[in-house]
This record gives sequence, C-alpha cells and structure tokens, in this order.
Amino acid sequence: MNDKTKKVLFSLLIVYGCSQLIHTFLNTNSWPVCSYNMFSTQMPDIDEEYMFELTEDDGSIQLVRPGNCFPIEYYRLNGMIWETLHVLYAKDKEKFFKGLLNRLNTDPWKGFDEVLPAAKPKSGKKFVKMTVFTFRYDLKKYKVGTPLVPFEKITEYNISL
Amino acid sequence: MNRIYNKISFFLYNQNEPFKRLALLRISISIVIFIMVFFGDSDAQFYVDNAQFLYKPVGIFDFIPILNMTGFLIVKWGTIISALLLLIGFKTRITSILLAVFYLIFSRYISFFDSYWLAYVTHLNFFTIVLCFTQVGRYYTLFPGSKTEPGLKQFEIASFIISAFQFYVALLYLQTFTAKFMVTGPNWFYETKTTMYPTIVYGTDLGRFFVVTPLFFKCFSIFTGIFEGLFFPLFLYKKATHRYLGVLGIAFHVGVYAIMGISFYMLYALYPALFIIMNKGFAKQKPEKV
Repeated sequence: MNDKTKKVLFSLLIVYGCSQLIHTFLNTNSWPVCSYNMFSTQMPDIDEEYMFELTEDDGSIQLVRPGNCFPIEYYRLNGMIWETLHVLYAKDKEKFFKGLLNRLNTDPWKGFDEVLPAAKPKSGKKFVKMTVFTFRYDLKKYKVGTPLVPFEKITEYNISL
Repeated sequence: MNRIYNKISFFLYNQNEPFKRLALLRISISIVIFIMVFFGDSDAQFYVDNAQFLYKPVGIFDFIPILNMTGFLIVKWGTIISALLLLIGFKTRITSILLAVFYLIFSRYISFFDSYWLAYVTHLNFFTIVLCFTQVGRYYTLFPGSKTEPGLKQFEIASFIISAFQFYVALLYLQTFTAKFMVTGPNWFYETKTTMYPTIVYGTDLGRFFVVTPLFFKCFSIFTGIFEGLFFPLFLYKKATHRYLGVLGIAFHVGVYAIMGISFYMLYALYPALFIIMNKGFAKQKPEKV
C-alpha cells in the first residue's frame, strides 16, 4: 500500500474515533455512531419495574416478569411496554395485549440467554386475564434471602379474554 | 509527530498472522450471529403480529418497510444460512457480503420495535461489513481450493482491519467509562449501589447472595472503572498488554454475567481471535510482491 493510502486509512480511523467520542461527550446516538452510554446511569433507591399478573381460568394467579410474556430480550421491554401503555390507542392496546395472552396459551417459547422462557399455565388450563403493574421497590430495604417486595403496586392496565 | 505516526503505522500494518486471525474472526462472528439469530431474539410471530403497533423506523434505514411473515423469514434465514456458509468457509467473498447485508437488515429491523436501539450489536454490523473487503477464507475452511499467495497490499489491508477492530473495542471501553463519568459522575465507580441495585432487581441468585457483603459490590464498581478506564491507554501504550487485556475482558464480562445476568458474549466471543491467539509480537515476514 502506498503512503498516501495508509494516511487516508489512518485518518479514517481517527475520524471514526473522534465521532464516537463526541457522541459520548454529548450523550447522544446517531446510529451507527454510538455513545455506548447503556450503563452510564445508576438505579435510584426507589426503583420502578413493570410486572405482569396472569390469571388462569381456575382463578390461580402467576406473577411474572415482563420477559416471561414477550419473546424478546427482557432489557428491551421497559420502553416497549411504556409505548404500548401510553401511545397506542385503546383498541390497538387491547389487540396487542390480547395477542400476547393468546400467544402464551397457544405457542409458548423456550428461553435463551436474555430471552426469558414463556410463562405457562398449568396443564389443561389457560390464561384468561393479564394485568400490568408498576411495582415500586425501596432497594435500600432489601434483605438477602427474601423476595424483593414492592411497597406500592400501581395497576397500569388489564385485559381479559 | 512523525515518530508517533510511524509507530502507529507500524502497528497498523504489521499484525502477526493477519489472515489466520481474520479466518478465526470469521468463524467467531459467524457462530455469534448464528446463535443470536437462530436461538435468540428473532421470534417471527411476534415481529409480524406486532409490527402494526410497534414498528418505528428511524435514521438511515427508515426505508425498510414492515415485513410480513415471508419477508421476515427471508431476512432471518438469510442471516442464519449465510452465517453457516461463512462459518465453514464456503465462497467467503460472496457469503461475507450476504451475511453483512442480511444481518444489517435483520438487526436494524428488530431494533425499530423499541426505543432501545441495539448498540450492543453495532460492532457486529461494522465488522461484518469491513470483512467484505479482505480475505477471510484463506485458512480454517472446509473449502480450501487453490489460492494465490497474498501480496503486500492484501497483507497490509488484512493487518489494518485487525488493528482497526482492536481499536474499535478499546475505544468502546473508553466510551463506556467516559459515559459513566459524565452522566453519573465519579460516584458511579465507588458507590455500592451502582452494581448492587441492578443485581437485586435483575441479577442471578449467585449475585443476590453477595448482597450480604456490600463491599463486594463496591469492589465490583471500582474494578469496572479500573478495567474500562485503563483498557484504552494500555492498548495504546504497549502491544504486549493486548493478550492480557483480551483475557481480562473475557473474565470481566463472564463475571458480570454470573453476578448481574448481563450477557455480552456477542462481544467477548471475538476476543480470542482479536486479542489473544497469535497476537505475540509483529509479523516476522511480510510478502514482498505488491
């Protein structure tokens, strides 16, 4: 390779590096240029998480993580759930969540890595109701060996088949 | 300034065994993409059923239309099959392009379903595209065929690509370190809650067990800062550190997975080919013919 080409390639590397760092300093992303700020924040002492309550046709209840209701990587779900709850029209919201319930009943998926396994009803049963909650946790009060218990539960949405 | 440029230039264009390492990278990347798309987040039914509600293309690929089942499966299986063909070294000039294109469309498409836009796989997009510009099928292939000896230009391109990928990873850690510093401040790196709280909420049983000893998480946060903060300077300072940085990187991410359940195998699975194997010293001999 001649010197001119090598200098061009070197310059491209510097330009790439600078554009990545500028995005990091500006805390913004312009894909494919990434700031890599995914883990830059701290969780607050009071944390809010979505949780899903699934009711079977015999009345029994399962409390599951959102990842057990969506066949996608669990860390993508906060934004997705927020959008479905706050942006979709009521009719679309109903269709969306009914679709999830039906999927759990008819075609549950296996988990892999950060795709969690589908919640499953007991044998011969099916899920008939889904309730979406926001659980608020005081993480300062967590004790090892005990389940993480919310101090407040906010009902966001519920749907029945 | 000239002296620094000459040193950098020497590093960029004199990597040891670049073609063997590119072949190993080819294998690593193919396996990672195959695993991610075949086993991971690629549920056709979900993406087809919910495109009407969730699909919001933005940015430079916003022309990708909503895919029906056939379209989604073509993109998904195009990615899987081209990954497998590239893995075994079949017609690598063509299969590398197919994988780069299919995986770009696939990863962009599913990223448009939420506002969290899959930065963690962007390196795979970059790497698959750049690998189209070099020879990745000279070694470790089921289809050796007869290949002419590479000339000096091809050798230097291969070497530059390895160096550029290493630079990409080193810069990534500098960025993650800087982002933490800028968004949260230096307390990200010494406060116990930084790593402890996500472990309580999302982590593994092993990770939650360590909550009895908050000092463990304080050390975890500090170690993260040391690792991410020093990776880039050490990478620039001394080539002899690269293999150790690669090993440390793998250990770091495996540890994070064991405690916090955050998986990053799609990045560190490339470290053996990129930083560790055959990465001692520089090229002993370069081709003479141009």
